[in-house]
Amino acid sequence: MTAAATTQDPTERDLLDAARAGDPDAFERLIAPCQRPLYAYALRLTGDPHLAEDLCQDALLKGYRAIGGFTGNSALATWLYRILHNTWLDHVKKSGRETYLEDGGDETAEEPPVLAREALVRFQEGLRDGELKERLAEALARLPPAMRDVVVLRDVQGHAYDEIAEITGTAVGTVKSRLARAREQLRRVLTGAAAGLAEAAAAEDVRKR
Amino acid sequence: MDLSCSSVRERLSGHLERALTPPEREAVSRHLAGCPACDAALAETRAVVGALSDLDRVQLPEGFSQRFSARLRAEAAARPALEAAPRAARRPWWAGWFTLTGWPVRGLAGAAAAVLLYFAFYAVAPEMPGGVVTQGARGGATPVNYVGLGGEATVRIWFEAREDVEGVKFTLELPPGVRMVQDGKVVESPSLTWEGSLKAGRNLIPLRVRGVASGQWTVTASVEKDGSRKERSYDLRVDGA
Repeated sequence: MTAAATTQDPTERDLLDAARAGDPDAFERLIAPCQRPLYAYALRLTGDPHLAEDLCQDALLKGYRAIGGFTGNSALATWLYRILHNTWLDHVKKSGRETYLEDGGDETAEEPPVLAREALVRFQEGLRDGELKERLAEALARLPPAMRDVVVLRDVQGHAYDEIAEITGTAVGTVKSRLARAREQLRRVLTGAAAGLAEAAAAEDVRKR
Repeated sequence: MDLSCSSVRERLSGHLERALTPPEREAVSRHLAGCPACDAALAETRAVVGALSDLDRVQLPEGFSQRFSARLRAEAAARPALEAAPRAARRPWWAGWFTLTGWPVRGLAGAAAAVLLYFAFYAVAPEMPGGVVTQGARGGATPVNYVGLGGEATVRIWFEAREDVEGVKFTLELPPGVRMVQDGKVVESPSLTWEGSLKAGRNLIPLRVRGVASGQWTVTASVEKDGSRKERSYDLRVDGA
């Protein structure tokens, strides 16, 4: 008796069945397209590439262990994001209090000066590829966790609201209000930073004359 | 409606995403037309949101996939079993990669010219009768896979070949408590041999076994070609009734 070998590309469903049975090769193939976006999520949450890699891979391993219980009711990627979200939250709790930017609350009180038109253009350019861009990443990493989470998922990565709700385990309404507060917070920090930079530049000019 | 600045600020996000009701959108637009501060805030928010999307240009660090792959294999080796899905009625994904037909034969036809062969044996834990098994965390160094007395399991054996190769001899050595099942019937022999071929890359052979006597057993599979032989063992416990 001779057996003939033939090749056949597995479908995602077939890979899922195999992964559920513990097959690491099938699992690795299944999650391959998710690796980069999941890492990006972790990186924007933590601001730290090594920590992001650890959290991301920890989450993927948890996914490997738990995939027997994955029912397919949600997308696999969403399920993995949720695991990573929880893994990150555990890390935040364990690592003790970071200092967060304060949640703005009612803003009409301490409002930075309104940026004039040219200043607005400089602001936009600075955000795209100037010093403000770094300040943006820093400010993001210092938002309170719940706000940081939704900004990364919505504004950085572009997930739909109901997906974000599923990943974070909150209602869509809560996601939207957190997002609005987070965006406002970032706006204040960055316009403040822009004004600061402009002042420093002006002072430098004066000094040079 | 006339909105205050603070009401407008609360609605800026919704306004940006065109998620406000028409009357709200109308009221916000009206306010913005007459309020430079809020108008600027909208433009600034739009700029910040736009810049945030640029932050998604992240690449995986070099070596990330390889490092993960290594961790995954280590995890798989230490804990080969997970909760197995209930037996699927459909064809498994590996079906067709290597098919065993008929009964195993002893002896081997003459081998062709020597071919480099790399063989890795990876066995996945069995399903309990009824379909689902959970890998128990045991105190010992090596987690053990188990099947109930009289229960059956599918053991999957990996072979990795550098190129297509024919005339490969596979041998399965079964302990007294474990027997192979083929076409629903127990195969009595404890030592089974097949001749087969491997495709370049990964080949996967599923083998159905049954626990026929309780105890802690070891199953050994080996692959041989032109005198080059590799073997691997797989622990299996059969739980007494």
